[in-house]
Amino acid sequence: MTADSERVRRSRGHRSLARRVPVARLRVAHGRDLLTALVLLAPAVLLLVPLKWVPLAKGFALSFAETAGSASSFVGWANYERMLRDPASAVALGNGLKAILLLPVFVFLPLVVAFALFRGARGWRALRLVYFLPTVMPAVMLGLMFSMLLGPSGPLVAGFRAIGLDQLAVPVLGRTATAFPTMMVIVAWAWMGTGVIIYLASMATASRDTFDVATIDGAGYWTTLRHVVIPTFTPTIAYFAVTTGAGLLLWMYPLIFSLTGGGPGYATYMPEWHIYQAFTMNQNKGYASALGMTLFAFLAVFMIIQLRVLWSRSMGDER
Amino acid sequence: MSVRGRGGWSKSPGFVPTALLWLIALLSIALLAFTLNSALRDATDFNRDIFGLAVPPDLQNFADAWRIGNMPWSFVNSVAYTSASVVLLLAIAFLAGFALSTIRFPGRMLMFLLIVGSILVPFQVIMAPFFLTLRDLGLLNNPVGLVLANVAFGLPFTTFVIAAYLRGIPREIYEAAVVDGAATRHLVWRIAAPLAVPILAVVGILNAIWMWNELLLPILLLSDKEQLPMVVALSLAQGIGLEGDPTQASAVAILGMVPMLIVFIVGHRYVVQGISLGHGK
Repeated sequence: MTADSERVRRSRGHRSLARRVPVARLRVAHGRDLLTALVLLAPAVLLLVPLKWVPLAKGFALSFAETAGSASSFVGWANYERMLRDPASAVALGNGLKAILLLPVFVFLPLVVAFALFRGARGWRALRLVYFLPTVMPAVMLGLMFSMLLGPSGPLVAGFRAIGLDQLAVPVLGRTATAFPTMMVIVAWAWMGTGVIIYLASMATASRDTFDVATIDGAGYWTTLRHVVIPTFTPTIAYFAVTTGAGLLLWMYPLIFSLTGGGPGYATYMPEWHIYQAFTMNQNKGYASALGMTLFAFLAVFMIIQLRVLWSRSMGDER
Repeated sequence: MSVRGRGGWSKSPGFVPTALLWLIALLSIALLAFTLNSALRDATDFNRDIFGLAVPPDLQNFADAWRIGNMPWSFVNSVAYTSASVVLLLAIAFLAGFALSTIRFPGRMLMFLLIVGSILVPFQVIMAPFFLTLRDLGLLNNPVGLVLANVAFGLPFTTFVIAAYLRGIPREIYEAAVVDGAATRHLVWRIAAPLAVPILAVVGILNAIWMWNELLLPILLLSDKEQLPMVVALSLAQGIGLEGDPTQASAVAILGMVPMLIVFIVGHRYVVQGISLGHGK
């Protein structure tokens, strides 16, 4: 630490010199800098080209092929046509869309919680930790916990039975009608902490004036939330919505694995789970690739928005 | 950036929001407490009275979970895979992040798209061809394959975070060093690296948590039981919890959460800072 402050101090000492002497500035691209840049970028590129970009191209090609052992033959759109007939695909896609339609819940529930914590609800210090905790837990273990809690010999069923509500005493994850909605409630719970953390970080950096007007007006919690918080933090909310949307299509595998295994039937299939099943259970690389390419097309919508934000925050607007 | 409960603003949120806040939190605690209590009970005792207390606590379920989860070896595997992946990831992402954020060179946009843009290609999209690629390289059932996969899929986000951070270093610092006769490569080690330590710690811990918790990649890439990391070994041993013994499932779930609970208690500041990197200011 002392070494770096020494370095910084030394370089600051040269500032006046830097102003007087015309320096070959870093932003001027000359041959040596290009070479240095390429050397620094080489490890990342050498890893990502063979492990991500080439497989993407290979996946595109495979999606038009049928494979048997190591041989593969061109089958045109057959894999995509099969997708349209496959009932599991329809459920996976439908569930994916339902999850996306639920985005407002996933995005605004943490906002309500975060703003209440921010306004200093009684006991907020301890409450905050309770909300943060699930964010670090392995999702598969949270799923295992809920499969026990909601299972046929778990406390939910036993509790309803004990108070005489036998018609409600059902293993909700084991019924076609309730399995997927239940899973979405669990996702909302497990994902909430991430949103709370992101919103609190944003609120902490906002200027105090933002909220002062509302305080003077004597506006209550919900009014302030609607007329001050939501408009002020729209960029954060939008960004979180985009991340969550992509996450709903990409990070559901561990929860499905321990909650339902995709069942009952195909009731809790999601795109990612379906690809995994097509690839491992049926050993069908062509079909799994066609499903992957389709997911890619849906994800691109979210990811391109995200990428634009990433560009402007790390590379854009020159200083 | 600090994440605080209240930004020096003391107007309480009122009854309904406070009640909602407490309701969700108490429910979460109750669920965890029930699970811990059940884990410490015998199955027959549990089935007789599901809400009974674990007095005296019975550690048999944990002993079984320990054995079927191949502990402590699966824990050692997790530590080895996670630390190797994080170190390699940080080194590669730091170099790339420096080049992208600090050096002006032709083709910068292309390199950004090639590295950070590969966020468009998550593992789920290329599951089959990625698997075949690792097989052709002889990296299936090989921890090296898992480490490389962890690094490749962690790179876009990590490189972005580091680049965004390095962009904040005042250019004058580099220019002064250039006057001193430093070559660009010296700027990497003597100036950028020491200044980047805080962000490397935050993004390193965040990645470590993700890699530790990862299920799909190791399930697909490793098949030798001895090689499985802890979370995977425990998950596979239990199978799908629906048909299992609830007390045993509880013990597996609790055991699987303990390492992250410890990480959270020890380093929650870093964890919270890491997660808040996702906010779009």
